[in-house]
Amino acid sequence: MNAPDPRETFRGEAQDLLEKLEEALLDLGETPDEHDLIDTAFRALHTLKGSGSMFGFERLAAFTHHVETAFDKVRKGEIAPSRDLITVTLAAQDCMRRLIESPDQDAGDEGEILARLQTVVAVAPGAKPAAAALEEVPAEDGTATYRIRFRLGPQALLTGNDPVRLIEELRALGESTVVAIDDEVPSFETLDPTVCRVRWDVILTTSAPRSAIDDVFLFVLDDMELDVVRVEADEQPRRLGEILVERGDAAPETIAEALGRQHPLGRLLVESGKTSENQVLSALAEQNHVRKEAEIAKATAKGQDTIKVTAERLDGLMDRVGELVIAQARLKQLSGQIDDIALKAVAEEIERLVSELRDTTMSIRLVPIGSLFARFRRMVHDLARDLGKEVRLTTEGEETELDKTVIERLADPMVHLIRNAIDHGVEGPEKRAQAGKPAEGHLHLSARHSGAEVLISIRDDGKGLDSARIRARAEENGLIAPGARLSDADLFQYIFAPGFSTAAEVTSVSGRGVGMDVVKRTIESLRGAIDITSTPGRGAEVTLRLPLTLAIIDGLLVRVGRGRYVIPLSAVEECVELSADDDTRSRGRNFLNIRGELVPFLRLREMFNAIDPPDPYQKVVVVSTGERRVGLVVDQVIGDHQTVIKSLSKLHADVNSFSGATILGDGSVALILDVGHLVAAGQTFDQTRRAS
Amino acid sequence: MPNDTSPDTATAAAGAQIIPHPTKRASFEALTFGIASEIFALDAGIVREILDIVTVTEVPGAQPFVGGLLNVRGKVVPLADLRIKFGMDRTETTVDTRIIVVEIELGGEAVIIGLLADKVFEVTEITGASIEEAPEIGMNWPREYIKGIGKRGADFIIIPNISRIFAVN
Amino acid sequence: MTGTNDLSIRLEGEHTIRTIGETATIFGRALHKAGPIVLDCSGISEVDISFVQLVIAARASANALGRDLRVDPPAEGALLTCLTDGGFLEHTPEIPSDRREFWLNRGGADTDGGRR
Repeated sequence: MNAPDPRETFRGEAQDLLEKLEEALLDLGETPDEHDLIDTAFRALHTLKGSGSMFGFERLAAFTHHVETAFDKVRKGEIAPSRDLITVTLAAQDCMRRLIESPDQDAGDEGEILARLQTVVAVAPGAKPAAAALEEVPAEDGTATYRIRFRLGPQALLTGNDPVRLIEELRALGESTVVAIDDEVPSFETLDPTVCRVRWDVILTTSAPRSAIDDVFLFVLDDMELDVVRVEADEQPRRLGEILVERGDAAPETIAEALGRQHPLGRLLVESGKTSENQVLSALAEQNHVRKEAEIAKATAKGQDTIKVTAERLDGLMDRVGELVIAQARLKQLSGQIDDIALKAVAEEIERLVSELRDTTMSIRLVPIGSLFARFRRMVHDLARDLGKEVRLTTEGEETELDKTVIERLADPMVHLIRNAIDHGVEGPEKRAQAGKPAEGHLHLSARHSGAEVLISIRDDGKGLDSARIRARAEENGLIAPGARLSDADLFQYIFAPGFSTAAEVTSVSGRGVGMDVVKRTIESLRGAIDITSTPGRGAEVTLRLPLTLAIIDGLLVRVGRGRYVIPLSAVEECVELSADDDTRSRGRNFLNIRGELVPFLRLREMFNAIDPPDPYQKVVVVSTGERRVGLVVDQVIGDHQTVIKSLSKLHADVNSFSGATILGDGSVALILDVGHLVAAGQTFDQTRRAS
Repeated sequence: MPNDTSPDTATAAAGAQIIPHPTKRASFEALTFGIASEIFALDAGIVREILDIVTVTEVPGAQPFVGGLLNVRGKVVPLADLRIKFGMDRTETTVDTRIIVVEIELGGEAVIIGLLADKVFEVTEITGASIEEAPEIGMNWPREYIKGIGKRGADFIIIPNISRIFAVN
Repeated sequence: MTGTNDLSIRLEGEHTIRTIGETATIFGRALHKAGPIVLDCSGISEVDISFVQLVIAARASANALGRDLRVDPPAEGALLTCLTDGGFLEHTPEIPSDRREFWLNRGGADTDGGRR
């Protein structure tokens, strides 16, 4: 029985590790593609950090942590093991040696080495892609069962490895059964309590690749015995004797002999003393585990409740549903013309079914936004670091579902908005301190449903938008008249104007006026809108309002001259008749008095150059664009129309009064009005007309 | 009119190459059609189908060259009138008027476009040797829109440069 | 750290690889005396495999000397977690595991060591 000073043991162990590290580094200089060398270096660093911390070498642990982080990047193939990196790591290794010899004294050059390391990592070229990833694929049904037997080496406990923690990591990979085999633990007198003499049998059913198991043992591989065998999870469980023989825990003769007697095999084997109780127990545990897994597999096969479908097929389904909606509209039109009650009944039944089918199909396309949010975590971190700021990212509503196409197309605009918030919104730590705010800025991403829309907000607690500066800039660019009265909400919309940037100093991150107009265009192409609120000194919030789905909208079908157009129902407030009085009186001023409120209107006949004579009673469809209400004068309001949106080709990219087109019941094409753009175009149209 | 509404003939002729380079004197299968008094030829490989005239929806504010939309088997397709690019007069729709549906690549994407034709003739082989470059003078049309002039018997055939005509600025 | 009489060992606080030398000393002293040893682990806050192994070795030595070593009260808290996670309490109907009975002090807390 002996109890050595763990710190001394660590010192000895650490010397070995440093030597191993040095050797690996030097070899790596010769053959930088050698993956084993990178792993060896990484493991040495990791162990130094872990056991260093455990035995009170805190300085060493903290220092080694940074070096380990750099090598983790190398290991993951993010950076190449450049000559510079090896040089600086060798210097770091000398530093570690000093920190081990005199743990409480400054090594002197820790800071300098770490700074060099950081620079080297920052400029390191990306690593070459791994020649051929030797990833073993799991079984066809996605899971595989392994028998993992391991035993730690004599130094493992002293270098900070905890077998129970390793087992925990294995358990995290799937369903497991663990049996400790302690038959080899000697009596107290001969035990070295720092050496683990217990070994383990773990039966693991996992969907993770085989390499995930090796990864669990990555840091102890040098100092352990590990045996991983794939076990077939047959429906017919193997007999205990078979398992024991296969494992080498019992000789076939022993089994045969035991089987010759009429008692339970396990009991007999233990009594015979040829196989330990724990070995039998472990084999029985494996038998049970495999049996249960086979049962589960069978049950799952029966009650299959999820299937994977390619996005392409889903798009195809949506297209078919879209065509069905069109055909249904046609049927509805025909049944309206033919006075037949039976036909009408069928048409209505089909309308209901199509509507339900449409909803079901759209719901299939919905995916949670969480995956998108997760992508920004790293970006926020890197960006904050590059800008010398501290930013904490929180997210909310990850489960909110949106059409997958919308989510895909949201990524770029959100990148711009988040960059903007961190670059221009969140102040540096000193400025924040001066303003009495915590040094760490806060960026909050959230998503939630609101009616038929999804609201996605990006909120920061920075300095907010500078409305005076935006106003000055907008005036300078001739976007607004000097002194024009505008609400903040309207004023903030100008930050999305092309080439608009108020950043006093252009940073590499943002402030070049590039991007924000693209953000607006992208959101509008998704039929969404952007709201901005800001409190000076307290922060800003940008809210993206998006429709649940892209493919189908409810619209109001109207006629202007000979052409038929669809106005998105979400924008329509009401329909009124344009009285003859208003019609004539309004030649000079295009205003309508609706319940005491003055509503400007646009004559679509004029805007669309309709040449046929107008209908005697013109109708006004009042639409809202943000906070404004505008009347659109049309010849006829035909009625509600469920619309499958077809986008316009690039040849019509210059036409922005229409967001798309749809096919009507009679097979002809109708354009869908883009209310926001149309109203903006209408204002220009009126101005030019007045000027001429 | 053997090719009328028989897309199969055209599709079958489609080679691996979408847009040929007749200026390099390569021979190609061509669909010939008439606009006003001129004969045009298109690589048959890009032709999807030929339709009788259908209802065309005007797009207010669009360039007159692509001023309409039509429904081609459930797809909304822009209708282009080559006459406008070639500065020719508009002609009335007649029983012979057809829409040639072509698929071309525009900025890396396949786009389906309807081309208005006064009359569609046939699919024929235009031999490379018969193709000449557009003359620099003696032509009323923008030279950049023409890939070459082919000859068939006594007739001149204009080979328009479709990708340039539709190039979006 | 020792209990009220020579045969009872009451352990408290941390018993891991960091402190295993001290823990071993306690056991060594107890094994030099006579009579059954009762191990009270209820005060242990942190434990790892080195401790479990030490107890196993001590029990083997005690048994070899014809002495009894038992755990009373049954393993709980950090120790129970370590035993469960470490696969020391796995059992099957065929083999009523002896060590399971040892740690759980037969008839004590009947926790299912086999996690599924």
